[in-house]
Amino acid sequence: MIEIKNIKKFFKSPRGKVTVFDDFSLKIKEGVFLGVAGKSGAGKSTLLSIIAGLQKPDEGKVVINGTDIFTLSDKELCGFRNEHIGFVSQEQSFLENLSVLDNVRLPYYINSRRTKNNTKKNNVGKNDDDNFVTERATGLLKKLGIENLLQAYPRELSGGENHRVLIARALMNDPKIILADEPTESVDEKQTKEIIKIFRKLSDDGKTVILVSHDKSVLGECDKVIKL
Amino acid sequence: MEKAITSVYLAESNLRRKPYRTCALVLITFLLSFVLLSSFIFNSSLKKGIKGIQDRIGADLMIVPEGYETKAQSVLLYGTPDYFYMDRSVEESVRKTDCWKNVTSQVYLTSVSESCCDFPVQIIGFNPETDFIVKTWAKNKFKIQEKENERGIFFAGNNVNVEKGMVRFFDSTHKITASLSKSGTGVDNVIYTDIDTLEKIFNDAKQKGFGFIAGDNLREKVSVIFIKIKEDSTPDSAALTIKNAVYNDFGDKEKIQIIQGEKFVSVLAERLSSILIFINASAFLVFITAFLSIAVVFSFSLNERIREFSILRVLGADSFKLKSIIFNEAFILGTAGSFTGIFFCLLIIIPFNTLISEKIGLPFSTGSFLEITVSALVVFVILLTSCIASAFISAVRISKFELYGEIK
Repeated sequence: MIEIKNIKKFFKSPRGKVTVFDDFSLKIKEGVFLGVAGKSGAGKSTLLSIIAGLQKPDEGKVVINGTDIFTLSDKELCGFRNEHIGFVSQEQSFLENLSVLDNVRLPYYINSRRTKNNTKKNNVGKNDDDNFVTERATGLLKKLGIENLLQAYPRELSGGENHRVLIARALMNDPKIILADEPTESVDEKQTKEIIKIFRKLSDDGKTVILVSHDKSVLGECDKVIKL
Repeated sequence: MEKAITSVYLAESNLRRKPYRTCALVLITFLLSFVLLSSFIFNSSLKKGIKGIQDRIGADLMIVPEGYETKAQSVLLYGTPDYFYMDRSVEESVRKTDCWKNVTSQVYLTSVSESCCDFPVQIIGFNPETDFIVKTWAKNKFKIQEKENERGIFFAGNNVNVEKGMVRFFDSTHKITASLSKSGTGVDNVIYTDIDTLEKIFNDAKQKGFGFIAGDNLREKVSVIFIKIKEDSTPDSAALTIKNAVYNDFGDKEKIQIIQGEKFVSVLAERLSSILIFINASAFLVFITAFLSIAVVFSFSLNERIREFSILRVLGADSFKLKSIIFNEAFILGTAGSFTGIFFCLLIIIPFNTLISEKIGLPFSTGSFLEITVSALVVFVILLTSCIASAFISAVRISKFELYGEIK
């Protein structure tokens, strides 16, 4: 369950103070496929980044599965995000110098606390842990139909492949929540349908999916849509 | 098997992605370590060189023929083969005075040909019975009496290449009695022998058609007389007494010049201090420039890498992880640059120390392997600390960004 309680968020701009959220509240149940609609500048991406703990609201709180995420320290919050939230962004947000496989494996290694805990928890050696990560990343890419791109580099990917790899990366740590910021932007209709099908499946598997989009056909596939 | 994606792995792949920037930073750290280690080695080697002369001269006064002070310096400081002579009875005149504690003399013999021997020859004849200069620097124990005396004494300077303890002059091989410890001065290139043997070598050479510039009757000549004065005398008063004694005996027939050991070194010390100021100031300037350059390059590169750090942040990297990537990059650059800098510095300075000494006109005595290793380690630590410190501002900046907006 995600609870957004009375958040306020302002930005300073050359034209003065811009209010994005003023006492905004929202409850999102587990396993829901939620669409977020709204005009440009309405605060759709800001909402996602607040849920992910990337931006702190000026007032109010965000409680995810009983954890008030903004009471956590930076280290704890990053660990929380790494473990519980998968992020699919709008554009190519890869490390260009890493292969597709490494980009997908990255979330597992990027939080040192998580890596240590997993190795300890699974009572396995470091090599076994690396094997596990590689197998999982390969499995995800296979599931998304792009196992042929393991050793490719991000610059070699098409629009549709790009989004699939982003989804694979978001799923690497098996998070409960998937945040997708306009994941079908700049892909054709056929690929849009395929991507939405993936999110639908994830939601059916019990993951909470929050998807920001302008596209009515995309939003039409969601369980629920809120407009900002 | 795929490698784990650690901070080092990410730092390495970032550095590989920007080869020109990486090479430029390695070059800066290379130059910095090269200059720093050079200045360390120059400082200690020059100081040791001066100390070496001070210790080696071991005399309060030196007497040379008038006008030959510079040539005496050339032999003693740089090992340039040279010769100059005065009448041996000058030594007797000195002995007649009551201001000395020890008096000994040396004869410089210089070959006119390099084909005669294992190396260009500067042989110095000394009197083992009165000597207080040479014997004290022998590395190993030896016996002047008995058999050794029959065969002649041969002391080899530290730079003289002695194979199996033998040295060859004019087709005759001679056993080296002892090697002398390193002084960093010209005497490291000299062979010392007793006067009798010197005369034999001189005659051998003559018979075989080689020449030495010494004129006739080597036994009647000396090149330098070394004097250790009595404790109740001062160098100035002793010099005056000796000058008068020699003048009384020879008049204008044998003109001498008396050099005070202390002044001989102090002129060099003054020159050394001005060179050291220049070296240290240059090293300091290079250090500051390199430090700022690295900091600026890191700072600029940070601006173009905000997107990359934003992605890592979104994926769950905490500020410690981001900092560790930046610091690892600095560490890799610092290690690569300082290792190559140290390597090339040692490659250039150690083998060419004699040439450097000649070019700068000062004695140069490189330290032991341990001393150089310690200097190299100190330079390595300074370099790494500087690189990490110059990356510090970038690391602090990156941890304060609100990064998600950057990937939008």
